[in-house]
Amino acid sequence: MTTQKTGGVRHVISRIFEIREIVILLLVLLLGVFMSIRSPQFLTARNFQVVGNYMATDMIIGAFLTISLIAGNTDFSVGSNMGCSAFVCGLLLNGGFSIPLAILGGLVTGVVIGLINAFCVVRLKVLPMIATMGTWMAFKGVGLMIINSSTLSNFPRDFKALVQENQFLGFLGLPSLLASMLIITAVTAFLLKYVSFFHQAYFIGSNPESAKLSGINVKRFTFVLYMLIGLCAAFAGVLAISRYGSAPASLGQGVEFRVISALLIGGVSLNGGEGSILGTFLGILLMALIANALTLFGIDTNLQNVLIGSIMVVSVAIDEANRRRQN
Amino acid sequence: MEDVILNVRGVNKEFPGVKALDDMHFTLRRGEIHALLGENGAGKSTLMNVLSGAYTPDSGEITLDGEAVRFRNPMDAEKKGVSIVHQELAAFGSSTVGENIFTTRAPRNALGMIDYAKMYKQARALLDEYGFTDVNERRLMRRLSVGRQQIVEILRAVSKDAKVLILDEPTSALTEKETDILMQIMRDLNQRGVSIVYISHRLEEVFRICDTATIMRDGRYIVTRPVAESSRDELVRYMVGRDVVHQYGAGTSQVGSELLRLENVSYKKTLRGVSLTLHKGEVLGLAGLEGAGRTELLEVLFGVLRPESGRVLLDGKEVHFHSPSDAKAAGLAFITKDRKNRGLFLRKSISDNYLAANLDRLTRRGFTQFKMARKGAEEYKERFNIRTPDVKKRVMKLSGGNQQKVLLSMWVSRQPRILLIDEPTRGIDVGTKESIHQLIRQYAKSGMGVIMVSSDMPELIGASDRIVALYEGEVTGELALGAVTEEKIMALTSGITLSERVSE
Repeated sequence: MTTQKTGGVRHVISRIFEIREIVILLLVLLLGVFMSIRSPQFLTARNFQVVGNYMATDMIIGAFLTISLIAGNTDFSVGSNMGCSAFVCGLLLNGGFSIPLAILGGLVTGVVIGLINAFCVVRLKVLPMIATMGTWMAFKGVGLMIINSSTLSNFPRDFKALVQENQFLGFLGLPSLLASMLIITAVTAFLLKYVSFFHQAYFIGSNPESAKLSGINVKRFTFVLYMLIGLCAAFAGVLAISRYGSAPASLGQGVEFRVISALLIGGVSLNGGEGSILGTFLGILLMALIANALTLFGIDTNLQNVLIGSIMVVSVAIDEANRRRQN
Repeated sequence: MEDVILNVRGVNKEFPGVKALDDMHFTLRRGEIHALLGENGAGKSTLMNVLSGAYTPDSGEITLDGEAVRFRNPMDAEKKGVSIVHQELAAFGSSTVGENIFTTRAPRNALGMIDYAKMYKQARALLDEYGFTDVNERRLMRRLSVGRQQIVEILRAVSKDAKVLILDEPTSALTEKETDILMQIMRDLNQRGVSIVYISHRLEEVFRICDTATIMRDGRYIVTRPVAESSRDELVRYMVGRDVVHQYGAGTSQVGSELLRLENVSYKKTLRGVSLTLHKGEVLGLAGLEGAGRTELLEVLFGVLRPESGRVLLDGKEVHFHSPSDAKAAGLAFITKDRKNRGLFLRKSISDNYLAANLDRLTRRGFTQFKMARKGAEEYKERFNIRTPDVKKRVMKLSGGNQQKVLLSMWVSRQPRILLIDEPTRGIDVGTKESIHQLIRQYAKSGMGVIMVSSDMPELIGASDRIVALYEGEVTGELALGAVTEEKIMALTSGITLSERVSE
């Protein structure tokens, strides 16, 4: 009887481990409970805002990237895109253009970089990883060239007020960054589940050839997604420089690897066909909580990279183990 | 008056250097199941691709329901009522069964959102309609067996209101039971007025289910015959273009002393106390249904799987293979049934494949001897009659039969003492089958041992000197040459006569 019981428990546990979102949620809850016991500052509105701000740009970039990666197309250029687009916006601001025009300039830059990525992938047939690593390097260079490797600052007060004083989306009563993140998360989750155009990401990712044969316009999908990713990366960049009030030369650097590892932790597969917005959100939340915990306890924040890297590899290893067991 | 639904007249299709279709004719009558037969490379696939809109013909006329049609692409063909189920599975593994059936045609609500409740309800209804009450419409596709996936694919084609359904070798990966189910679906569809074009290498199936057969050869129309009035030999003659008296070769070699012995070998739940022997010069056939443990037995012998208990004796001495390289070093060779994924380096040349199998012997002072590899590959190309102008040609460009010969030559060139071969002629045309059987027999005659797994009954019976039957991982009987009948094998492999064992 006892063997049967453990067998049952083991079965339930193994089923839980098959659903990535639940595993990550458990980790998040575990960390949350631990933190609220050990640190009096953890459960404060102030700290929530810190965590939210930390997550916001990553999630804004990661949302459409999740959909694209489900379809099998990665994008490493998002970090450089974020920086480069923000620099364009900052230069326009400092050049005396109106705030809406400057923001538009930044966003257009992002879309154009996305378009270049899509062109390389769809028309030139370069593998997404290689194409976007190319644009990642190239636009990192372009960004630094246009700002002469120096920090842009002295933006108009009204521009800084957008995020610093929460004027952007202020009617929601939430901090701008948080509101932007939540809206993008909800919208992309809805699109991926209920709108055919985005839902087809799963078909394209799990079998591109038969996706084509069943009438899916894979090329159009790829173009649209890279442009949306570009748009969101630029949007994150604009929000970031409004928040900081300046655009440091290092803006956006390293974002791509952080976001993609969060996606992988959240259950997106680099082989395509798998993943969800919820998983991505939880992956990014987990990363933010780890960073938060290390800061609150005054531990060397470099430990964050060690932890994130390990969690990423372990969670993908669990996936592979599940797959082997099923076959 | 004949009621013709699909008519092909004088269709030509040329690829650089090849005339794939040469003045092809094909007439499909309403409500019939029509077999399209021909050897590999005869142009069947090209014709199907033309009919399903994947290729545009260079010239010629196609009429559907009396109207001339020109399909721009597969979606266009589907809209007009011609659907195809491809030989290679085209499933979306990480989506559900329901999503696979509808893909982009999923029902939507007034806001344009995918209506999941409705979609699953319709999928359920469709599955029930065809009697698959045990297939869950919300299950992930990749959790289904290959046979079940194939059935979902067919339902997907059916759900598009197809008037003409093309099935391109749907049974090549199916078990016998799944094949039966498929035949039932085809009859069902047929009664609902769907006309079916059926491509298969398995003539038994053609005789079971088809009304008419059209045979093509070298891209040309040869003949159309009512199946009921034809014999197997007649159809084969048309396909090959000559008389084939199939010599499988059982019982023609000198069986010598014991080479290999298995004693009570068990592996997980798939092998339970298997004992058997193999002699020099012998071809031992392993009979069994899918899942009976046949492939696992070969994999245990070759060191891919480690047996949990039992002994393996080679020349009377106990051996333990910890990996395939151990088994290879001991003189064993394993030819997998999955030649494309596990056997060959498809994107490499014939000569490179030969090199890969013989790398240890073709290295001098650390340098690879490409010239020797090329010479060796040339030699086997001649000996095995591999039809290609050049051994530098990529293996993927060869027909299935020639690929199998390349795989066989790679291993035979190492002169192993024991050849383990899984489904030696799956998906291979009649003419090439014969020569592969001759090669296997020739090899056995040189004093080596062969263990062969086959689901092809005539092959198993005709090529094996002795047959061991497996059922759910257990040996249920052994049949000596002369005592073998299809009925006896069926009984042993389905576990019916477990109590009354047939002994030597």
